[in-house]
Amino acid sequence: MDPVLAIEHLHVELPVRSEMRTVLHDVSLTIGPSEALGLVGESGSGKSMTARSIMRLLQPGAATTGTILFEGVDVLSMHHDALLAFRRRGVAMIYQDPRAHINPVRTIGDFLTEGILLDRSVSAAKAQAKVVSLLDEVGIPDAKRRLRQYPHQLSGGLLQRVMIAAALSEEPRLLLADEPTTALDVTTQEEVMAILDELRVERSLAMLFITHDLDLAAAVTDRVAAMYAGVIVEVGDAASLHTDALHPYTVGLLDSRPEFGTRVRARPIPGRPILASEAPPGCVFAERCPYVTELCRSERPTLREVGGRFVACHRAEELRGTISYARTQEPR
Amino acid sequence: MSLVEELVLERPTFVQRVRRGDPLIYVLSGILILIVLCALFAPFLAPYPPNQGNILAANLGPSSAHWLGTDQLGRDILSRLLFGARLSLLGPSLIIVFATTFALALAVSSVWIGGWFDQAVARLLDTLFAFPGLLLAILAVAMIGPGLLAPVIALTLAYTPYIARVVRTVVLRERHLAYVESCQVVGLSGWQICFRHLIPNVSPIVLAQATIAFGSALVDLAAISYLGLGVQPPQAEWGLMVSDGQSALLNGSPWESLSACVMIIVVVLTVNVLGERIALRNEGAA
Repeated sequence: MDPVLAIEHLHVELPVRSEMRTVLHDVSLTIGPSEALGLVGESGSGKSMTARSIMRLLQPGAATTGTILFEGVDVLSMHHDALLAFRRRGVAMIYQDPRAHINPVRTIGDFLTEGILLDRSVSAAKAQAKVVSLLDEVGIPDAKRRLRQYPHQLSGGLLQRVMIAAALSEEPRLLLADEPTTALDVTTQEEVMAILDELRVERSLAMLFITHDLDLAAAVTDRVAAMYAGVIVEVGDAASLHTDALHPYTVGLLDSRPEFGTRVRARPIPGRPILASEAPPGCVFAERCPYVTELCRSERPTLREVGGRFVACHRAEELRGTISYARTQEPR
Repeated sequence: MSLVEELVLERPTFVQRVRRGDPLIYVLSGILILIVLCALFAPFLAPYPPNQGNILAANLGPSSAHWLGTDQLGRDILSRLLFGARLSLLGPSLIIVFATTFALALAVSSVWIGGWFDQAVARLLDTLFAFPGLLLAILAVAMIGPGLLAPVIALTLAYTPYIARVVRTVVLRERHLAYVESCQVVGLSGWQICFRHLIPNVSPIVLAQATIAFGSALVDLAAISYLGLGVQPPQAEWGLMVSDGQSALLNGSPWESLSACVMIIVVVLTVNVLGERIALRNEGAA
């Protein structure tokens, strides 16, 4: 079956003070129908930029090459009306900070019905009925009262549910979730994630799930792509990436998680994350990789298949299963 | 629902909002509305027709027949003041309505389109800024002829950059708030986002700016009339009355100039303080 979204060799440069800086380099991703793809990586690795590129929300002056095919149509070459229609009905987006993404002086009802009412054949009463049932689905009781309220009167968790309801209101085929639970506390996070997952599966919606939480990505997605400095370093099914990561960076991310119940310290990756614009000509991870060789520094590895998954590492086969990071400090 | 939740979550009623509001704003708005009503109902309120004069009863002081006395042609000053309010308020109102509309259109479009267009608009506004309003007005009068039209056109041009500069800053800040992006994601067009979200959200600040500008537009227009370039006699207008009363002033009869000056001062002070209070309220809300 044709993928819902196919990104091929996407390269994005943004103007920063009269200079073009690379933020994404040769990114290729596909998301099949009703498939959830996780995109993990540190802050600044280009996860959100990927989502913004898909939505064509990059700042003016951005230079984009490659293709982003949504159901076979290139998003990057869409004209005005087609782009509006794509944003309206093709794809929806959920953000990390719902409070900032809702007009603070309009009611929840206005916010939710606005998209639906763009279709002029829908009456206000019909739109409201639809919204009430959506709020019900995302677990907001007393929806009629909520519709009259303003964003500041709702908690973060409730607002994120409102956001989810808004995203689903246009029956999109693709959902972009940009760290939707990062700003929420852990219990709310779990509730919101459960609702999102349930509604997504129910509607067999494709999803790009952006997070820096590998465990969360493994739990709710089918496949996971790990991103570092604007480059995708590893793509594989969520379960095996979680247990048997191939790329030293992915292993490093997994090792950096604190382990509860033990006094074993997390083993962070040495060094600091680099920006895509600072990437060396060789492997983007070369500077921080404990297994770096001359080849890594001189030639950038491309994604290739290793054991049913894709990894961009010259030494993937020989290192498989042996990668580990030295503890920087012994536990007390 | 608990009592606390009821208090915190429910939208305040109209009466509640009025009670919580700034009392000064209501008082000043009341004064302005009163003056506007006087202007509108001048034919019913004025004791005499504005242009009916009795040369034998010129330069009289206040009396029970003429509350504010008569001018050098024996016309009733109170009646002329009431009728004069019409042109004196209409002029600045037109200027501010046009200038604010242009300023908003320029600010929103330059912020939204950005790039070279933004630069071009900024330079255009700078150029307009370079011309003093009065000079523009004199030029316009020379081209179109005296009356209300020429000064209104000229001062609209002069006030547009003044308002646009402030509005542009506010719109720019608003445009980069995250909610605008989510409007784009929903598939709203640029027009829809501007008219439904951007402009309503910046309107309180625009209102404050326009109110303050109204005061200076009124003074400018009165100055133009005073110079004899604006509204022509025998029409009644405050700036014209100030200059008209000058000779009487020297003859020891200050009532015409004085009363017109007082009206100008009252209106200007009222709108200035009102504009400031609105701006202050916006800051409190932000």
